[in-house]
Amino acid sequence: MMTQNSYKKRGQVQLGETTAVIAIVIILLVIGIVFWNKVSNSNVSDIRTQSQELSVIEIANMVPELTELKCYESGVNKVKCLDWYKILAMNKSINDKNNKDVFLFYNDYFKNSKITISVVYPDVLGNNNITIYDARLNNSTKTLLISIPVNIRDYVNKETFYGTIIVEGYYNE
Amino acid sequence: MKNVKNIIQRRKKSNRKGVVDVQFNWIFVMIAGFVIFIFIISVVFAQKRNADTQAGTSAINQIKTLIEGRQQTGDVYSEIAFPRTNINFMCAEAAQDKYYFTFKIENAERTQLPTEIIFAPQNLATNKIMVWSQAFDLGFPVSVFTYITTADSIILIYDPNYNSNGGGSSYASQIFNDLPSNITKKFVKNDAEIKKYNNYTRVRILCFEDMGCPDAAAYDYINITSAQGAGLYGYGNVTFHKKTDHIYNPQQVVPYITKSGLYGAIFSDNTEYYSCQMSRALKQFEIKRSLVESRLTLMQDDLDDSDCKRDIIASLNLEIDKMREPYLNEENMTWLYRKIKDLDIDNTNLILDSCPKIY
Repeated sequence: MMTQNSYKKRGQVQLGETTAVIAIVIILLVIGIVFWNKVSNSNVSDIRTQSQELSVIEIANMVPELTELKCYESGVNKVKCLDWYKILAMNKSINDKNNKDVFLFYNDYFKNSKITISVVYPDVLGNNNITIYDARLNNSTKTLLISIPVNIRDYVNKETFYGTIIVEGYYNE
Repeated sequence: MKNVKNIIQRRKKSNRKGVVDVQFNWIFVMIAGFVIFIFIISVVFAQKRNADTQAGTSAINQIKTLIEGRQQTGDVYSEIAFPRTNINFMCAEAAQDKYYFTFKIENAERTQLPTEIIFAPQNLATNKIMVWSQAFDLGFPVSVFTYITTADSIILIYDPNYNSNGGGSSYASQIFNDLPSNITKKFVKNDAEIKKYNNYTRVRILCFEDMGCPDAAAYDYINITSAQGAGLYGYGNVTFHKKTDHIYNPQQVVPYITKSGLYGAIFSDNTEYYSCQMSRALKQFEIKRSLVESRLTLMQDDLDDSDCKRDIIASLNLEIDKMREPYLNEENMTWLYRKIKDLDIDNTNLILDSCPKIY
């Protein structure tokens, strides 16, 4: 025969079991949400890094193809060849402190990067590194550097130099 | 007997309590279940939203990359297929002389295209776009114009003298032959023939000033008037006639310059869109002109006193400097056309004298 006390105890055990199950389910859900959040955050960060690196590669591919820098002979553009005076003109116009229009226009192409044309051989031009564009975000940015070999043609002195286009992409970590 | 009565009463009480317990458990389970169900549904919807955003972003990137790729070179035709999508192009003047150009795919965020010059219908609902490009050169390369159309669009070239044996207007034939073969285009001789193409979503009718145009009250069309002696692809005016205007409306007349400029008008919906894109192109022209000016100035400093130096100084002062900051109006386009011709002559002379070229 069951007494009133034993009924009470049975009811408490059942309620305790249900509460335990609910608590475990909630704990599992919370762990799941935390895990899912971490995974999706790391995915977002990976995608962002990948997209920033791709953007630098795109800029590096675009620079030697710009008509504003390329060599033209008999109306035909030469592959991987830059006109020395076009480099100097671009450097002068983009870095003009009094007129920011040219810088702002190329900012849409080059974004947060630094583009340097370096004359490797022969060392006759005096100024071997020309930074035509530099838009660094801040000092804590990470960089990706891509270097592309090119010929540099001086049409005034009729000489050809060997050089590189150095593209540094800045992006936040 | 008393004991038995007590036991029965106690059992009845405890049974009622059991019923309350069981009911409470069910309510508890249902509430918990509902909360979990709502949570799962919200996770599913959040995932769907993310997937939609990602798909939108991916489609935007794909279309943007493909359009940008075509921007590098002129005279390239290609087709881009994707799931049926609504695309909207918008070109507007944000402030005086400041223009912005954006495009939007479905419900994704509007994306800026700060450097691309695209002539296209403003609203497209399609699963395939046909993309064609032409270099925009005004004495030196300025940009590459991109033209976008769809398979359910047609260009009708109105030529009353057309016959399949090669007769008809030379300008009409020139446009017909220069448009890529994949873009749907037809000659029409009269208004009755136009009606045959009513099943196309977008019909663009081209006609020429000297040959006549369709009924002004019945059709929207583009009337091309090229300048005397400049040929079709030199410079001139285009009139975006609207049938609602009935008569000639001077506000719908805009100037064009070069082949790429004329096709810009042909692929645009209206004067506003065309003028906005051309104004952006002329802004880019000013940037490129300033670069050419800087280059020639640097070259003349380094050149010895020779014919080359004199030729370069002359080009700099008489042409490059005079082409400064043009606006889209008839007077400026006429002036610009003459200067382009002079630059071509200067460039040929420099080549003949073995001098560095202007461009």
